[in-house]
Amino acid sequence: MSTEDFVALQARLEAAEAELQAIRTSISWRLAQRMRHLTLRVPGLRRTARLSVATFRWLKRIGPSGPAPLLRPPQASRRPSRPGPLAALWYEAAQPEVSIIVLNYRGAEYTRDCVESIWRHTAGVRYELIIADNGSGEAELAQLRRLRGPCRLLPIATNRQFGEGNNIAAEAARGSFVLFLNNDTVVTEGWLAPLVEALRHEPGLGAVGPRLLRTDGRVQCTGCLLLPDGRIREIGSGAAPDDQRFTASRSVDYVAGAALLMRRVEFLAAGGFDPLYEPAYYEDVDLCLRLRAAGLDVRCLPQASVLHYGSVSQSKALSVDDVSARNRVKLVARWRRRGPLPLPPLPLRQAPPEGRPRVLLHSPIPLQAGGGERYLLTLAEALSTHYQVALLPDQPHSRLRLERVATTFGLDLSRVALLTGEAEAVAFGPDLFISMGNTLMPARPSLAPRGVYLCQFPFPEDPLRLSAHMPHLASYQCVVVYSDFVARHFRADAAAVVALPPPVRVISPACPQPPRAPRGRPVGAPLHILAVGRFFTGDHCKRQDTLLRAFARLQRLSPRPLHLHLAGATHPEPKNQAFLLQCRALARGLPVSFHTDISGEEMQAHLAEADICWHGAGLGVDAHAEPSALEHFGIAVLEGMAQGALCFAMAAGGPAEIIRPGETGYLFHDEDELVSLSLAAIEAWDSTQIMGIRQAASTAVEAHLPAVMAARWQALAAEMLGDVQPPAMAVPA
Amino acid sequence: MIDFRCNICGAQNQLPAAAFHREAGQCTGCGANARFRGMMLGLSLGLYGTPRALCDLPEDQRLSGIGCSDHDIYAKPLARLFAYVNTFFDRAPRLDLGDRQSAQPYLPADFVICSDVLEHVAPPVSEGFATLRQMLRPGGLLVFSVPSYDMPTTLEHFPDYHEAALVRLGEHQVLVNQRRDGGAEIFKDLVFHGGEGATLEMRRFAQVDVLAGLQAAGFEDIVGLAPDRPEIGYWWPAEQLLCAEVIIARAGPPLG
Repeated sequence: MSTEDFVALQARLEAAEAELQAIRTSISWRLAQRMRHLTLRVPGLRRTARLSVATFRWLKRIGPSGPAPLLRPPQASRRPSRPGPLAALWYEAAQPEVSIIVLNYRGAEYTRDCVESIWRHTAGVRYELIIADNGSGEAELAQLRRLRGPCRLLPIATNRQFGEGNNIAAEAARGSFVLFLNNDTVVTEGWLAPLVEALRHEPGLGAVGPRLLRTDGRVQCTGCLLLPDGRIREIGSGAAPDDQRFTASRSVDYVAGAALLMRRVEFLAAGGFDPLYEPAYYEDVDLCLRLRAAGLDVRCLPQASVLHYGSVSQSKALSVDDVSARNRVKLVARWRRRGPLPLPPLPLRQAPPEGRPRVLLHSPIPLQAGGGERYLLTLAEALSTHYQVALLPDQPHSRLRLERVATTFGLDLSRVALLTGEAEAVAFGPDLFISMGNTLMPARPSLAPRGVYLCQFPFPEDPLRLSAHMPHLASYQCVVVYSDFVARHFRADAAAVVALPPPVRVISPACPQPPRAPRGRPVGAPLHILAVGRFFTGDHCKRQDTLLRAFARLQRLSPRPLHLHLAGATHPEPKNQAFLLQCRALARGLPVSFHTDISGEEMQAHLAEADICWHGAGLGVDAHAEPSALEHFGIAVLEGMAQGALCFAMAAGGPAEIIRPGETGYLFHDEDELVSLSLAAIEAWDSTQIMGIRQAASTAVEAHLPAVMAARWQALAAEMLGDVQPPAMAVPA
Repeated sequence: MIDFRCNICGAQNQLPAAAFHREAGQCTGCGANARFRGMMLGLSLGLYGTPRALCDLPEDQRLSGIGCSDHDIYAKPLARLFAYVNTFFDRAPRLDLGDRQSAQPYLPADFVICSDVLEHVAPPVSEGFATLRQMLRPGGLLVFSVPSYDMPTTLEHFPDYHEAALVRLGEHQVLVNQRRDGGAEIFKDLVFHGGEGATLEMRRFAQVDVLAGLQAAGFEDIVGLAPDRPEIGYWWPAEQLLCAEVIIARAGPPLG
């Protein structure tokens, strides 16, 4: 017998002893103690008791309640955890082959059982164990710290949800392979080695997973299939564990993220779990579909088994069905269009300019592909060629996520460092701090001797918060806003509460696409109207509902066939989903297409196809009472103009500064005017006048190119830093 | 008498020739009629190139399929064999062939089955053909049937159908339609399939228009399967006008 076999046997013996001890200390065992003594003295009674127990077991087995559970939910109070001898043999902190990542969110009891099972049953592979706590709080962290065995605790300050939590942990992993394991699982003997073995020897294999068993011992799934409507079919669900139909390895559409093994480098190259599916569900499906689209196989290996409770860490505030249904729609929408293009390889991190001043950019909002993020990251890219630049989001983010957003925007952030937490920010030692915010007062004081407050709009805020944050503004030497419209409101609001507010400058966002000449359509051919904007209600709503009503009227009157395209991201909140449904209902029977949650490239393709762009933000808004509900700048207007589309926007807010009515587009005040102006333009569509307006609009975009924005910010940074070696720049007039 | 082995359940049957019709000739094992057997013949030929019975097909859950209100007689076996979803006009999973937007919640499938549905879809019927094309991946298989007739052009019963409702007048139902131009019209002598209800006949297809509709929607390799396979019970006596054979076709490249 080899040493490994001996150690394995010893571990099994230890586990059996622990189970026996648990039985002996159980209430039912102690309650039955007298009965056992009695049956020892009376043989007939013993036979009767045995028969009764056998009958009871048989009834239980065939009864409606199903087989007895193999696993019971873990108990809160229990003996302290112990690693066991196998862990001592196979745990490898410095150079592991596999990094097992267990994400914990308020489920320390489950995590403890899971971790103990890993220690007890993992052999044949050098592994490390990362317990990533997804912002569960100090009490939970204290419980995790009490685990007495080899593991690496990775506290994530806030709940970054399933995908991003795992992405952050995968970036911290040291192994060549990463194994994502739900904390509500218990692994079984020999679970890991076959999985690793398969990936080691088959380069064409992208991901593998074990058979998942339910707590009653029956099969939960041996891999999963994706049905055409996006629903999932768990292969072998409910089958007996020895059912021969489900014991062979098989290629599947995906293996569940509850237990999924990949090469770390491929996980990172594939972009990790996609934040599109936050908070949870379908990230694993999407990841495996991306692997399959890249020509890699995804396989379930039933010789490895993991017991799975299921859905124990899901927030009670979320309806699993709702979240799952929404993400199903997202997945289908994405893969209907043949899936996302494979991400380009992660750019190699480039060294920042040596010895140059340090600039720290702060964002209070989660990193996603929105307008504010585009501005801040464009700024980061522009400054990173001349300064040492770091980004400090309020919440922890993975580098994967930053790169994904940067790729969406076509930015190179390879010189930009991503920081987590204020301690890292202080250690960075910034000379200039640029903080973005949506209120009159910055959320935090400048962390550097010089500060710029980038205010998107001074949204109304709670008076107590306003008063608490008022001293922060004094630590900034300058305020930057997107448009004169915002500058007016900022100055007016600031003058009401602060004696001497910092000077306000306007540096408008850049149009990411270079302008191009408008494209003609054959006479009489259908015209494409495009409305770009996220589907959500409340402040800043893009009013797709009103646009649809306007389109229904316009279509009846138009001498040319029309097609309306609505493109934008969706929001998961019920009220926003209801708004999207309302829009779909309004579109019924009309030539309208919805393009939800599409990639930057797809959006660009729609912009390039658009003849007319409509911008509805601000429709129905009282501009004096609710200026915050107006478009603050209107980057989508610029993007439409850049593509040579004829743009129509509300005659208020930022767009009113971009469009010169009748020269570079049209401004309207209400739905009626939108319809009448659009109709007039369509009737004259093939005229030189319309083509002239489109051409002038395209030319006007040149004042908003990324180089212009970059030069303005570089000049401001040099000025703020008193930079003796300012970058060469040419600031347009 | 005609002996046949049902190509759905595998049961052996013996029925008099007079018992056969497109909607008759029920299998004693599963209850399938001749049309159902023809649809499954089309599926087997389209997927495997051979006329195999459904009960003999290997499970292949990597093949995805979508049904359009398919009958349980073959929908249930299909769900066991393939990654197949049956859809319905009036309940989830929902699909309205008359609205191509309703194809959006579905991934393009390897095969789509649509039997005797398109005659009930609101005009324009080109939308129905286009929706079927959108349900399929390029090269995907359509197994299709619709009652069609050897006549020069399709007879649209309600050409200006826009906003309409069925209204009971006395013992009969009438269709009240408001045209796009706002005018109203009433239709009597409605034809319902399978009894009164949601299956209002919207048109009588000319066979030439069926083929033209499929081609215009981007289908290729369109093949009609004549009902001349008595050995599997896909057979019925020729009728003077009714064509209605099962058609298989491939989805062509994506349309611009």
